Amino acid sequence: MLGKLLKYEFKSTGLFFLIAYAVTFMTAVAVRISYVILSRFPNTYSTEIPLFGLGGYYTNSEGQEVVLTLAQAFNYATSQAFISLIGILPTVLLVILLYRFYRSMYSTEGNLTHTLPVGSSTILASKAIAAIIWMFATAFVVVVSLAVVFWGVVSFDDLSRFFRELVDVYFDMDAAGRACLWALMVGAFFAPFFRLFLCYASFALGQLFNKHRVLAAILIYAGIYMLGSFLLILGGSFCIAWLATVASDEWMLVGIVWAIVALEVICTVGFYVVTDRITNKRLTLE
Amino acid sequence: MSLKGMNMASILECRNLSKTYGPVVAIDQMDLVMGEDRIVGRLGPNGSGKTTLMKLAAGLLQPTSGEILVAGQKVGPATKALVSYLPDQTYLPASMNSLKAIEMFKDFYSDFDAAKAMEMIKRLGIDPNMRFKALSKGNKEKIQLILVMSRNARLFVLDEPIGGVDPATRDFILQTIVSNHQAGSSVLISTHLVADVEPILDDVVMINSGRVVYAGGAEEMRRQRGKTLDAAFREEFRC
Repeated sequence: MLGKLLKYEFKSTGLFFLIAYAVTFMTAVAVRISYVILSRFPNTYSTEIPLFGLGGYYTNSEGQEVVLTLAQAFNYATSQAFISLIGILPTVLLVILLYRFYRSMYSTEGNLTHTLPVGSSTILASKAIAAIIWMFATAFVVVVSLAVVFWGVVSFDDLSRFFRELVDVYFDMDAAGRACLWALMVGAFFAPFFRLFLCYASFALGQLFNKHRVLAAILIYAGIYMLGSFLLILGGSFCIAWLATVASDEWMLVGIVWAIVALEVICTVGFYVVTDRITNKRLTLE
Repeated sequence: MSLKGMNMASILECRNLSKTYGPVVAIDQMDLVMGEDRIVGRLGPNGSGKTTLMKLAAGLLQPTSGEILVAGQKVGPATKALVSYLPDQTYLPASMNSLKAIEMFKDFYSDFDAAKAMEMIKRLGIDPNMRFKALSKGNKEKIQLILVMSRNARLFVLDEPIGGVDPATRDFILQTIVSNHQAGSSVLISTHLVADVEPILDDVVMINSGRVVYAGGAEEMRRQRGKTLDAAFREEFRC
């Protein structure tokens, strides 16, 4: 049944996501083309005609009006569009995932979702798996789009040299440095899970209210976030004080980073359990 | 209270069932047994706890105390495969169309008869490619009912299936319920439009403030009270 649920999860969000990815990729291609035109025809066309509202002029840092060539204007417009897109894409897509989650779980559509012959844990798992796959796919699309933009600007040799240097840096590190780096990587991997399940748990806790459940969910989200930050500072202080007595400075840092990662994982599991428990035992649809 | 004969298996059983929402008692220590092969009307005024029992049977709510059994099993994924539930509101995603909904029901319910659903939709003259957001309220309700009644379920739980629709649609809905009700399956209908459903009911459960005030045969009630169910309902729940 999980496979069938996943199929419908991807179907319900797939079209929007694929369009968003296609637009991002096409914009990256346009930026790349604009760089090619700019490098080949730097001063061929000059215009004073406003272009797509950008104007034929811009004012430089010395206050002088500089005439944009068509190639420059095209480059400027596509670059701005691309930067805006990759800036807002992850957030917009997360909002869509959360909207879809709320609609199918807790609005009237929940009458369909929760009467399927499937356990609530399986339903929740299908939504989480689909969301995580979309999040990683979004990150992949952003990386590929950036690669398209910088293709030729940064050569393959530059890239391989960069990665070789990174590997060298890793092997030059002492054991504490490596442990710290691993902790950061594990933390980065779990960050989307933490963020997603915090949102899910907030929605689920919002269901315990009779009215204004979405507002309640938003306030709960903010409350958990603030409480978490407070506890992190408080716990961190105790942790540092204790580690200072048992570890050297560099291992103290490793201990703190791993403690934060462990807390992130524990909270993620906790948010999942809360969401599952409320959905299974305390569900009262709108 | 029992709505089943001596040799009849029970399809729905409530044992000392209670459901509260904070201080509000929706169902109060209810004992009820419903047998197979019956069409049961669950009648009561607004706020009497009709919808709550339907949702408990469908697995959308959990009892506060007591238990509810479907075909002898506690409500869960296994019983959801036996129960076909029609809520009292539009619940299909607005972006979906009838074809996609049929595909979905076919994927999840092994007892779903896709050909039967398609045939009924065609007979109504509704374009199966039209998205639900483009359909009228009446047509949406018809599609939902068709999907629900195209299952060969053991128990059909229909919450206010004729509420808020025109008389012609009511006739279609009632006709669909009767014609798709098969031997061995039972139908539980909640409504306060008693006169419309009266002709199709085998049994009646009247509830008020979460408590059963009458459970028995429809014909028996008419004979006992010397009036129609509709008249008895009006008398029982007079404001």
